Amino acid sequence: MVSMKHLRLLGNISAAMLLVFAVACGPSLTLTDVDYAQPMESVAAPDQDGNVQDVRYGISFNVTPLNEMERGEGASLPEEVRFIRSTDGYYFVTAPGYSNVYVFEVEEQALDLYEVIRVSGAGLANPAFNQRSPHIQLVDGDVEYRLTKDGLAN
Amino acid sequence: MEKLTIRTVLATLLVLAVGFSGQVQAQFQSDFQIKQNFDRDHAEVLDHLKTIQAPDEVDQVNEKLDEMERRYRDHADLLNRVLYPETLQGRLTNLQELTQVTEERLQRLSESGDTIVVLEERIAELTTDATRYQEQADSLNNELAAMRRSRDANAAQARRLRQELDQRDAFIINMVDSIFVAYENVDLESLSPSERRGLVLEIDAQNVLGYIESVVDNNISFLDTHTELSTQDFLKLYGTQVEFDRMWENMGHDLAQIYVTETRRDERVSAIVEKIDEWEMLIDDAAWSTLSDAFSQNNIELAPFSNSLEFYTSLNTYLDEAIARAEESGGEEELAVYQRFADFWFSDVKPRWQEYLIDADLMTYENFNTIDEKLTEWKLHAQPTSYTMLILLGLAIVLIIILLVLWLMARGRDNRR
Repeated sequence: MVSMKHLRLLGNISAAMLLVFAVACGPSLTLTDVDYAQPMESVAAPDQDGNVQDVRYGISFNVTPLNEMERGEGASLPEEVRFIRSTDGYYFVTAPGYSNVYVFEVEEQALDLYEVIRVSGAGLANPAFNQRSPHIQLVDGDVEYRLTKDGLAN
Repeated sequence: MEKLTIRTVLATLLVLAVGFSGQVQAQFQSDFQIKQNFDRDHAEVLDHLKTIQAPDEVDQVNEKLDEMERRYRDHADLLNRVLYPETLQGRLTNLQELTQVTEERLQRLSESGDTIVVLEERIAELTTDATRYQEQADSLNNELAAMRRSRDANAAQARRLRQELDQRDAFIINMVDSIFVAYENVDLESLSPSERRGLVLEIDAQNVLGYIESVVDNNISFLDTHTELSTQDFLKLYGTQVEFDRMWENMGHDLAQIYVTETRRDERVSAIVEKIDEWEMLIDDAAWSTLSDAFSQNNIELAPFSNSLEFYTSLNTYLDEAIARAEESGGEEELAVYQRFADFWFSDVKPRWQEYLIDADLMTYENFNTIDEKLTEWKLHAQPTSYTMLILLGLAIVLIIILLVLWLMARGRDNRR
């Protein structure tokens, strides 16, 4: 026999479970089809500490670790750094003299290296990014590369 | 068939090569560079519009704008995004409108070009004279300062200084007048700020109002130093002050608009107005008190006056009372009073002061005529009955008596016969 006392206890447990479930889920909303594409690349000269910024797009970061990865520790900073954000929100960064394009994922107050795309053995002479959604176009003189976050596109 | 095939292949290759090279060039342009080029072209047109001098240069700008339209038409999407919230078309339209405004301005300018050339020449000429007069004024001011220290400076020296100051004041007033008249003929609104600055710089912006202020300063300084001048001198100075005041009323504020920056304008104008008021007060006091003294010294006691209306009223009252008095009891004494006034009026007031009283708007020709008419009326009433008439009357009576006696004697003689 199930007594009233048991029924009350069962009711209380059910209510508590519902409450826990509701709190655990929290407010849930996702906006989709976001286009992060920066219409034009940013060209910025690093300061003496290696910081670059583009006030127009509201971003600044330090390129020293990137430069060390490209050129080795203690190497001088490039005169300018070029970067652009793709439609899917990844930052593509390179500089004259670099052999690679570095793809970064956006984290909370950080850019995490997602991919390194090797484009030129001798180093890029005069690189420039163009937004060509869904690709990022990298031009260097007469040479063109079509890039995605995962590497060179076909 | 074989030839045709080779030619076809070659032609195809050539077309492909040309097409390919064109494609390569078009394909690998940096968006960033396109934007940089656009910014450079835009700035170039703006700079050209700022410095453009001749209407034919407008054609060059229009050509450049057409070229920009052709060059950037294909990049409109990119430029619209990177120029947001502006657009490529918006920027180009803005430049076209600016070009049109510039063209209209140049057209107006060329129409008034002759006037400007004349103005520039006149200003150059006046600047030289102004410098010379400024040097002269400095030396005069030194002399004035020395005289202030030594109060026994004689009137002749003061008069000489005064003449030199007058000369300079007249020059300054003419100069300012001349510049202003010249400016009035130029549509200042049609000139660009740099052109206006150019004209203004010609005559040292600081000095135009500086010259004006120096006229006021020198006169105040002179009036403070010299109280021994004659009535004529003071009336003459009164005229200068009135003329100056008129000039300032007419063009002072406009000159300040041209020569003084907006932030300092009110302060500068107020300072000059304050000094002009002080000058007016000083000359007003000096002129009316010496004029009153001059009448008193000639035993003509006018009712007190301290302005032109009171002076004229006082004269009229004096004459009306004299006429009424003469009507009642004319005679030797009244004639003497009349004679004293008439002597002073016709020997001093009219020949020596009339000109300055009229110049300074203190009296008019009509006022002088009225006084003259009243003097004539006064004279008529003041003159005692003529002795000649009395003698003639006496002689006539004597003659009548003689004739009567002769007639009676003749009649008596006849009766005796």
